[in-house]
Amino acid sequence: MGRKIAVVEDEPAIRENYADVLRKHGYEVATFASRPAAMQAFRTQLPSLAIIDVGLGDEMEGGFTLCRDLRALSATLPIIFLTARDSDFDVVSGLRLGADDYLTKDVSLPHLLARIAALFRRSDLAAAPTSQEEMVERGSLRLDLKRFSVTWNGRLVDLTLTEFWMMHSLARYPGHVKDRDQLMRDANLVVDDSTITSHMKRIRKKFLAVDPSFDAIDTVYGMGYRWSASG
Amino acid sequence: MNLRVPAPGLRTQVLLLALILLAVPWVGYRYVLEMERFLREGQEGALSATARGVATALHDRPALFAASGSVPLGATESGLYVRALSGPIVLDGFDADWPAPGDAADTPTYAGATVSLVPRLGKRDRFLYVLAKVSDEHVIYRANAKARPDSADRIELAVVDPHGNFHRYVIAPVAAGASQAVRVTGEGASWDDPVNEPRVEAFWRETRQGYVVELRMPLTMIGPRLGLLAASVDDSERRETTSMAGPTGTEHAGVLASVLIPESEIDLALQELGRTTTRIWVVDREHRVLAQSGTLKPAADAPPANQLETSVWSRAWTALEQATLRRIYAQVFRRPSNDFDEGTQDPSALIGAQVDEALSGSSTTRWRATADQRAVVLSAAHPIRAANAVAGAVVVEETTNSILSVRTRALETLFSTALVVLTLGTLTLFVFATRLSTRIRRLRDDAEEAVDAQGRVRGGIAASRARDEIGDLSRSLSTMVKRLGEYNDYLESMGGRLAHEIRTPIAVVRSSLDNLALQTVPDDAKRYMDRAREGLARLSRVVASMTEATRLEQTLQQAEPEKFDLTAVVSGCVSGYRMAYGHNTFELMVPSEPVLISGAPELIAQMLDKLVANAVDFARAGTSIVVQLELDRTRALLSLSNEGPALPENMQGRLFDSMVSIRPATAGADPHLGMGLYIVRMIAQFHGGLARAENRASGTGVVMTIELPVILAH
Repeated sequence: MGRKIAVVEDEPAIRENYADVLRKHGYEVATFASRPAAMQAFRTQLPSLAIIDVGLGDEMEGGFTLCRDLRALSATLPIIFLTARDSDFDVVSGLRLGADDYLTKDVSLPHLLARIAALFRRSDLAAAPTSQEEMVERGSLRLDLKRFSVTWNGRLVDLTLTEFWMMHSLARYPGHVKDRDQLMRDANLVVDDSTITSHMKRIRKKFLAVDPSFDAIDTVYGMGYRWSASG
Repeated sequence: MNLRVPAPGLRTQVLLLALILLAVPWVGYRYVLEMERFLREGQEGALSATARGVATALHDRPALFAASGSVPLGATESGLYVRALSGPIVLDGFDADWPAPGDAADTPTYAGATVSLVPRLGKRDRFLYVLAKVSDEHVIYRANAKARPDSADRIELAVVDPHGNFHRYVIAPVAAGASQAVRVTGEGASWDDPVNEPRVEAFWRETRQGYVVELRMPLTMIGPRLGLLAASVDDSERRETTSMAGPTGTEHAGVLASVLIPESEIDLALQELGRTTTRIWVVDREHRVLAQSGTLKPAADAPPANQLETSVWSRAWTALEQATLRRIYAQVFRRPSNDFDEGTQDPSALIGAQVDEALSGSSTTRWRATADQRAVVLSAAHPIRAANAVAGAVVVEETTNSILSVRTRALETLFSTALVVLTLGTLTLFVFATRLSTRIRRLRDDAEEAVDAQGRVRGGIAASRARDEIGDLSRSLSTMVKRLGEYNDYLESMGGRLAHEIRTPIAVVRSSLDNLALQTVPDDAKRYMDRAREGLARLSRVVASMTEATRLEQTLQQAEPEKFDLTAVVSGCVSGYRMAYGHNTFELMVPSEPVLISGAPELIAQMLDKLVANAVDFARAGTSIVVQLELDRTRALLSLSNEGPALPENMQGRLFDSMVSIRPATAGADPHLGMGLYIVRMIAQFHGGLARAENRASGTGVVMTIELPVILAH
């Protein structure tokens, strides 16, 4: 079936480039330059996935508004923020509004495509039964590699795709220190060190929200992070 | 020689300016002197006018002077005259209360066979006083009160009263002491039947030579003629009058000396003008005093002025003034004294020349000192004319004491006031100057505080609300610093903004290249694509490092400080660096005990990353980088030392600023925006510490030191 991706981006060159590459990979693409135009179309027909820029023309936060409205229309529709704004504040705001991932425009197209593919896979399999071999279990931690979902002590930890991949990278070899480059590679991401630090902080926070005594992720100063074997 | 005198401060300058206030007492002093001069002139004029007034009142009354001008008391050859008496006379037979006689003419002697008389006549307060010194070998009193008055030694006095009636009075007491005269003529009186005359009082005192009779009678009893004689009875049995002596006879009106008591008229005139502290004389052509009024000294026990102030404050001030200033004033200013020598009763003796001038027809005023030099006396003389000739002169005298009093009082008040004004003025100016300089100094301190040694804006200046120039300056500085701060912020955040703006075009290029890679392109084109990618990657790193500071700021705002061991973080990081940087070795020196600080360990690690990256860049290949953590009481000192080129002198302070780099531009190498050490500074400051860079003492390298406050173990 044809997957329809909506690209909401005010910069025509980027919009068309994204549209081109997505079409080449077999997706159906609808492009919008502004929030009202996109919203109008979404009301008529929902896309399978939306890639949204935060700043849309005159609306500095137009993407956030659009995300909220879109999430109101569909709780499961995968939404990816793709923006030049990379401050922690913006990332947190975007994710809190229900986006599945938040990417800066540094991301390369292959990485973007990997995410899109992963997100589609997750939404496809959301209802399907879990197959055993696709699970990684580390003590209280369970990673479902198909659905990209994480549980801790049986409770769901709501990670974004990027966070999930980082988590997977750490938990695959408990006790091994993963440096930032490895984490980036595994998360299909090219960012700077402090972004990794922010991601790890957010991951910890999410676990702590589920279990206040969570301390399974160690920081190894100067090197990276490690899933503590005892955890 | 180059002597440096420190420039006087604002306070000193204002105090110096306050010296102008000293002109106030000086001007006041000049004013008082001027006032005194005017007062003296006024006094001169007033005195002169008084003299002229008196003279005018006596003009063209030749009778006064003709009568008195001849012989006041009849005796043509004698100089006996009635003189004005300045002091009260007590009827006691002593002459101590009489003015001292001037010369022989003043006290002529009239001699008889067995008796001689030295009479003196005076006038005071409407009484005629007579002091009769009688020499008599045998003083014989009347046998009894009934005895005839001529049966004893006696003083006889005869007058023609103002109504023209002749009266003959006799003082012939029965014993020495106070007595009354008896009238022996007229209206039922005779020698055999004398009538007591209580108006003529007398005192009889025996002396070795004889006796002295002092008597007085109202001037109203005396008309145009007067006679006086002493009669002696030498035989107490026969009681016959044997000898008589006196300027005139007393038998009938014809033998009496024509006398006019001119004083009574002149005195009337003088009394109208009478003032205390003013002495007026009328003299005749022979310099004889016809009348005198007043004295130079003020009435005793005159109430001192200015005792009416009732306010507590003014009384307190007066008391204070009395206690302190008056004593000084008493030393400095000569207060006029009323204890001075008035001089004799005779103006000729005092101011003969002036009297002469007046008698020769000219009016003059003179200043002179009293004989004892204690007071200055102003005298005015004016001629009295009668029938186109000078008949006499009026002399009016006054001391300058009243003026001196006014002057001294004015000077004292002036200096007291000036002292208060000077003190208050200086104090006010001092307080004002102190306040001014304090405000300016505070502003200066604020200004110095606002910008640190590296020229960074540390904080604002609180704008003063004062509406004066200093307030204006404060507001201007405040605004200036604020704008400077905003500009600084703008500069520091420019990297972030720029990066944000560059990101979009980068994304355009990247996505285009990605798209291109999906096409089949010739190998040649792939080479260019690779180069484009390479350039793009570099551009991305530039953007990343530009945004790093901005992102860090956001992180710092949200960071929640936790307590952690700095030793562990530093050790961990250094072991990471040993793997990451192959060209240099790391020497690590940390204390054995944990160094606890409050903050964010990942930020400390980020800071170390930057410091190490910087040290590695500058370290010579193969040398070791020394990472040292020391505990210095309240501070943790984290230092990184590398061998390599020394820092330029002027850069040491600015090294930690945004976009400051001293790296040489090397082609192909990663660009350096000078954000690394700026981030170090931000993180150090976030932890309440500071960062500094120094050259090694040996000059062979650079030491970067971070000071962080530690949590003290209790």
